Amino acid sequence: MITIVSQSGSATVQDLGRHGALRWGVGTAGAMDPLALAGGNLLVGNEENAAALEIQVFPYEIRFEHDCVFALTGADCGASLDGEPLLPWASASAQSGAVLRFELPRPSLAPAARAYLCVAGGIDVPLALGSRSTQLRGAFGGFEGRALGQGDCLPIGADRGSNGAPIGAGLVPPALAMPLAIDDFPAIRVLPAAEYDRFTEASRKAFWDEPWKVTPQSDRYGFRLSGPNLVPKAPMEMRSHGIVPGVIQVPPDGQPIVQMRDAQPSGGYPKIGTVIEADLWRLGQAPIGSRFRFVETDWEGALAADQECRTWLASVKRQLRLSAASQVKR
Amino acid sequence: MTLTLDQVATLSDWLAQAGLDELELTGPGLRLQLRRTAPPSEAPASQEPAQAPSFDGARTDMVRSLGIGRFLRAHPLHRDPLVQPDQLVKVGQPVALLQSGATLSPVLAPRAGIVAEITAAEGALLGWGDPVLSLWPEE
Repeated sequence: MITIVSQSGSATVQDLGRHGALRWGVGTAGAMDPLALAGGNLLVGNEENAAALEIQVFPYEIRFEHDCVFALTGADCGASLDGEPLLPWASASAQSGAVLRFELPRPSLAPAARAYLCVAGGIDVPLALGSRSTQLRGAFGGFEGRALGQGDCLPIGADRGSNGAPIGAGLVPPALAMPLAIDDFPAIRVLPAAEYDRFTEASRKAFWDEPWKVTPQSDRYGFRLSGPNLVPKAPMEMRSHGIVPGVIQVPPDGQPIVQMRDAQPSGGYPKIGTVIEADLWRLGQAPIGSRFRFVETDWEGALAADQECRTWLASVKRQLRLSAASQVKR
Repeated sequence: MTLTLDQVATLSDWLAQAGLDELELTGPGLRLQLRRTAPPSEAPASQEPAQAPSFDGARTDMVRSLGIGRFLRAHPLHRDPLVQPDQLVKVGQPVALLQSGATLSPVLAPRAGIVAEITAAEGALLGWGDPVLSLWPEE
């Protein structure tokens, strides 16, 4: 059992997402940084898709109500357990009653905005449509279909993996293991979308060449970006149609919105591009006020990027298993 | 409970201002001894042992690697190393990291002590039993 101590909102229970339900208009939800969630789960011996806590507003405090093995991934928040500093992207053990505190994300060598708390056994909330992710819009899934509040108690699963890595094991964060930058800006790969050619050549060029800034109007539903104005060749009126996380819409004001995990499953704005699935974690961790660049890719490039993420996860799994086996007992 | 070098320096200043020669501080997991060797009237300009925790003898314990990996003094996300020479460390405190591909394993202080010297080279490939750093005993 974990008790939420902090009052600040917007922390939710997430797993890797609710897939296969878009046909019913139910968006995927899921962690904004799925690699951090999966990596944290592997560190504590869970399956990759176990439910975890995604924290977006800091400082944040939780209390362990029983002995627990846990891992912190995502943003480096200078976290501490009963005041003792913890290393980021590593597992640790807590005794019953211990308080875990997250500070504001540090300006580390790979700045990030969201932290993940994975616990051995996973957060044991009921499955809804096959997932434990919180569906905020529909108010179901996760913990009572809502963001967590002070005093909420999260149950922890009892079924712990038998091949958990040694406590204290850590991971090189994927932002460092798989760096992607262009001209010193973090890069996000994008596939041109259906209405790409209906924007002016100048707009398309600016889309790729100019940096984009994450405005404060950015959250799990979507990121509003500020940058060059994207102008269609002619005004476009479209019927609402199905969209997925990553779709970059251009509303009439010319400033794009990237749909994120809690996006509506349909929309009517023209789409200039789609962030590839394999880079959604990069964008999902972009702090408010940070800037990045879009980089054009194609189908093959997107598949290769996806494979790179799978390979990273497979390496993590394999190497953690090896280190568990070769641990020297003192 | 740990002390930073700044806090030790402050204690040392208070010692000088109070005209005292010796201070011993104990707490959970901590024991500190300060002994002034300069007369109270002298300006404490140098970084002499009078301002450092005192210890007897030159006996250090070598902390050795318990695994294989690339030796890292700092976490990949950080610029500052985990520990510096003269830093007080607690038993079980991570003092360095070993990187093996995607994973990191911490090198833990086997006992409380003061970091004497970091003997392993940054980025060097270490094997089982290779020396990492030496620790003065806590006393």
